[in-house]
Amino acid sequence: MKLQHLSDQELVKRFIQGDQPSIEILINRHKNKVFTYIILIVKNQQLAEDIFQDTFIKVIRSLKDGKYRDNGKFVSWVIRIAHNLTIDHFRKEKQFSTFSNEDYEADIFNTRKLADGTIEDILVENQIVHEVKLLIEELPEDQKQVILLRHYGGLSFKEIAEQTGVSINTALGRMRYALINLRKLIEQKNLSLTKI
Amino acid sequence: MVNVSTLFYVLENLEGKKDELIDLEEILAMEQKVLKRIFEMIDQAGVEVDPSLVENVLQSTCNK
Repeated sequence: MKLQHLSDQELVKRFIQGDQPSIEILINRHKNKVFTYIILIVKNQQLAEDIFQDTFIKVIRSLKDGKYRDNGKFVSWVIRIAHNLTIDHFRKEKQFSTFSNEDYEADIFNTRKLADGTIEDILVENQIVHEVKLLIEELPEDQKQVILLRHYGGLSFKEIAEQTGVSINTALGRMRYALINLRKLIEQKNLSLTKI
Repeated sequence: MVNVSTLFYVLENLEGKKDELIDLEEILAMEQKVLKRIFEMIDQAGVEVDPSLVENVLQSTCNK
């Protein structure tokens, strides 16, 4: 059977047993999700790339050291590592809100292939996606973390509470306010979320 | 008679500051309605990771 067809669980097992190509498949399978998670928080291309690499280096070392307890949620574990490294970075640098969006926007919104449609279509789509991305960015950091951990990490509210060091009730409250805020912002900006 | 687990659920979901009851079903429904589409759009935007980053990771961890 081709490696691409194996589950995360099977690939992890094979890598731990010494099969190097398995980790490459795993990284390539989840790289876009992990990178998007990081860049939506740090809003800086170079920093996101650094944290992305550090995340997977830590993933590999932890797997080799036998620190991964397989519960069938490999990507959740990777997102948690990315989350912790991101938080560690901001703790060290204390630059939580000082990044420019310029690099990020230039890279994240110019990746659509011209073959996907006309230039006008792509520009319109990019503008909508840009507006949608701003919705997430405008949320307070604690609310943004909850929705990103839910979406990209697939974490339960209990897991988010543990990850962020708050009670389940607080995690739920943050999600609730995030959703209320997003709904308000969508209305204010008169955004249509029906179709790009 | 109130089921003990239900009681704990209700107690755990009381919002501390305003004593407001958090309705998990409401949150999950809003999540499905609002968040799902937002992230579909973001994910469809096609953030692509530079392949050299993956290469760097693999090289720096090879045989270590």
